[in-house]
Formats: sequence, structure tokens, C-alpha cells
Amino acid sequence: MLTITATINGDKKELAIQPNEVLLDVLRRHGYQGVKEGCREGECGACTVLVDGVPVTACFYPAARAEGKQLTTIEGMDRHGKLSVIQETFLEVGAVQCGYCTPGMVLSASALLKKTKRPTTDEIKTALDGNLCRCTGYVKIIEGVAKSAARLAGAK
Amino acid sequence: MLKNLKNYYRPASLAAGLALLKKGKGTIIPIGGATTLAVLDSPRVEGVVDVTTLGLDYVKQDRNELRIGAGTTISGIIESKPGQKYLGGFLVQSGLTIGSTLNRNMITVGGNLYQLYLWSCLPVALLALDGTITLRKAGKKRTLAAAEFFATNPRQTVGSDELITEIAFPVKALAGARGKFSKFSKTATGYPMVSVAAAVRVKSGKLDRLQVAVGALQTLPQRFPEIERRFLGQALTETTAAEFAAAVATAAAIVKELRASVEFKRRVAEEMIRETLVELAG
Repeated sequence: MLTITATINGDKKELAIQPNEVLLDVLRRHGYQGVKEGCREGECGACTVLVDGVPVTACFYPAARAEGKQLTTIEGMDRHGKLSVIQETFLEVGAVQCGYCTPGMVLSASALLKKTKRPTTDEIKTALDGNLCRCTGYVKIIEGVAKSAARLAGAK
Repeated sequence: MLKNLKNYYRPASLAAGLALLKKGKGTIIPIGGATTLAVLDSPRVEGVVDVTTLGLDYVKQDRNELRIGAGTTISGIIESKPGQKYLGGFLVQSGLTIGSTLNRNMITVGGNLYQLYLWSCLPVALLALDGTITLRKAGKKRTLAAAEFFATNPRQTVGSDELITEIAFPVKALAGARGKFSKFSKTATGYPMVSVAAAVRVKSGKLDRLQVAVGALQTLPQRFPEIERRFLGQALTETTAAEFAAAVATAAAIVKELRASVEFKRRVAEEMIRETLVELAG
């Protein structure tokens, strides 16, 4: 058993982990159930989290590597009780159906919009290419990210 | 899942990491992008050394070479200025052929070479461009040409106490050359059925450099220097491009796989090489 310290959604946490555990299992065990288990093969992106702002698949990310890192899960997007612009826009444009992929989509979109204020459609597609959705066909998701970008840019 | 894993090491220096690998005698292995931890099921492994703490995350260029640390992620190469500028975006094209953004944010240079998956783009790129691979173990360092490194599976080449620490692509030797990396797959993020890496330099209307490697046709990337030599000194036209492509596709070893027949892959490889050369001639 190891103990690591990481900042999760702005809160410093001490986590007891096994050396062979992946971040997905540790986060879910500690209550961050917005981190979804999907393929466990790094293919579907349902378990996407941000590590120091970079989106990764938590099913492949060694929990021990998270020592000292800033982790963001979907639970960290609506702090202060208010949904983020991306979440609100996803709801508005209908970018959500069953919702299982949505946390990963929102986090990948969030990382993109931090780096690229007005992404092209191709840039949005590339940023989300590791997040699979089996319901929507992606059109509304891409629209949601583009509208979020416009709103965030307009807010500044 | 490594069921018998007892220790996860995060050494503060390369020397400390190499000392751990030496001490482990094969029971302690390096971990890069980390697919190893989730996928590998070896009861012998008792410890892993996290290579992301070893100071191997860099992309640097001087007059002669572009050097990339083995702990650098594929996204790290794509987002670096030297990586973007190298050979007209060759490394960006190459990196983008790998899976998804989420994968590229985790896959490291060292893992991409060592694991030699179908989607490993860097082995094909290094072989085509006469790159080099540097390996270190406690107190020792060796640098191998890509042709030597990929003559056999890297699992046989890299010792259990050894670590891939750096790759290098030539800069001075390829001055004035044009390059392209492409893949053929069923979907944008799918594993390649064929990948092609090429560099071409034309001087006074004649081919002065012609370097082409093909990947995903078998485990190891392939290049055919004797065929390349036959075309040096000739003009790069649609006809020579087609002749060269046919010669390489005929010579290439292709293993059977579920997604396509050997003959289909041979035909795709030929067309991709031809198209690549025609584009580079343009």
C-alpha cells in the first residue's frame, strides 16, 4: 500500500493506493463516480480526467503517477453549484443522450478551449477523437463545443 | 494488471532509475505511457520505474540533429516548435497517425519504439530518415542506427537493465529534403493497415536522396536501400515513382491479418508509396 497526495478538483487529498492500481479505480473508490468505466483499454475515453490540465484515460494512468498532480474530474467542473459554460451549452444544444460519454467529452472540450480559444471544426474533432459516443453521432457535441468556445470568447 | 507488483519507483534521476533496473535483473521494468501497468500480466514483475520522472521529456534541435527524449509523449512532439518545423511537419503527420488525442497524451517515445505495436509510427519514421536510438544502462551508453535497432524485435535488443533514453533525427544530412508520413486505416483513429514514411531530395532535377520505409505490413518496419540506390540519379517523375513503388511493394514482407488480405495490403502500400513520391516531387 502506498499513500499519494494529489489535488482533486482543487482540494488536496491523501489517497491510499496499491502500486498496480490505475487512477480510474482509485478515483471511483474515493467517490468520483463521474469518472466512468468503459473499455478499460484506453479506447473509449469514458474515464477521461485532466492531469495538470491534460486529458488522459484514467484506465491506463498509474495512480502512483498522480503524486503531486492537479486532477480534474467532471465533479470539478460545476464548483460553486453552477454548471460550467460547456455543460450548460451541451444541455442546450442536445449534445447529451444517454450521457455516459459526456463527462469525458466535457473534460476533453475543456482542455481544448483552455489552449485554443476559437477552434476550427477539425481541431474540435481531433480534440475529441478519443471520446466515443454511441448515441449522438457527434454533430451536436461538436456544435456544443463550438458554441461554448464562442460564449467563452464573448465573455472576455 | 501486474498482480505481483510491490513497488512503484519514481526516481529523481536517470542514474537512480538505471540503478533500479540493474538491481531488479528483469523483475523491475520501466513504465512509460503506462499501458504496461494496465495490460501486461507478468507474474515476474515486482517493480516498475516511472520514466516520466527521469528528465527525459524534451525536444531539442541543433545544426545536426533533432533529439527527442524517450519520456516525451507523442503530443509533446506534436506541440513542440522543433517537432512542428522538422521536415515540413513530418513528425506532426507521423504523430497524428497514432490513435487519439488521449492516447497521444500518454504514449511515450520509448514505449512506442519498444512495444512496436502496429500503430507505432516512430520506428517507421526513424528507419526512413536514418535516425538513431540511444540506450543507457548503469555506466554505459550506446547509440544504434535505426536500421540496426529494428533488424530484430527491440525486446531482443534492449537489455533488461537498459533503457531507451533518446532518439535523434538527422537535420544537416536532410537539408533541402521534403518528407511525408501517412497511414491507411479504416477510420481516422484506427490502427494503420499500411504506413509510409518518405524523404526525398532532388538536386539539378535528379534524385539525390530517396528514403522510404513502410510499416504495419509486419511487426518490424521495412526499408529497401538496394531499391533506393537503383533510382538515385534519376528524375522523380510519375513513371519512376510508380516503378519504385511497385519494386518496394513486391519486395515487402506482409503478414496475414484479419482486416485485409496480403494482396490488398500490398496493393495499398504500392499506391501509397507512389502517391507520396508524386506529392513530394511536386
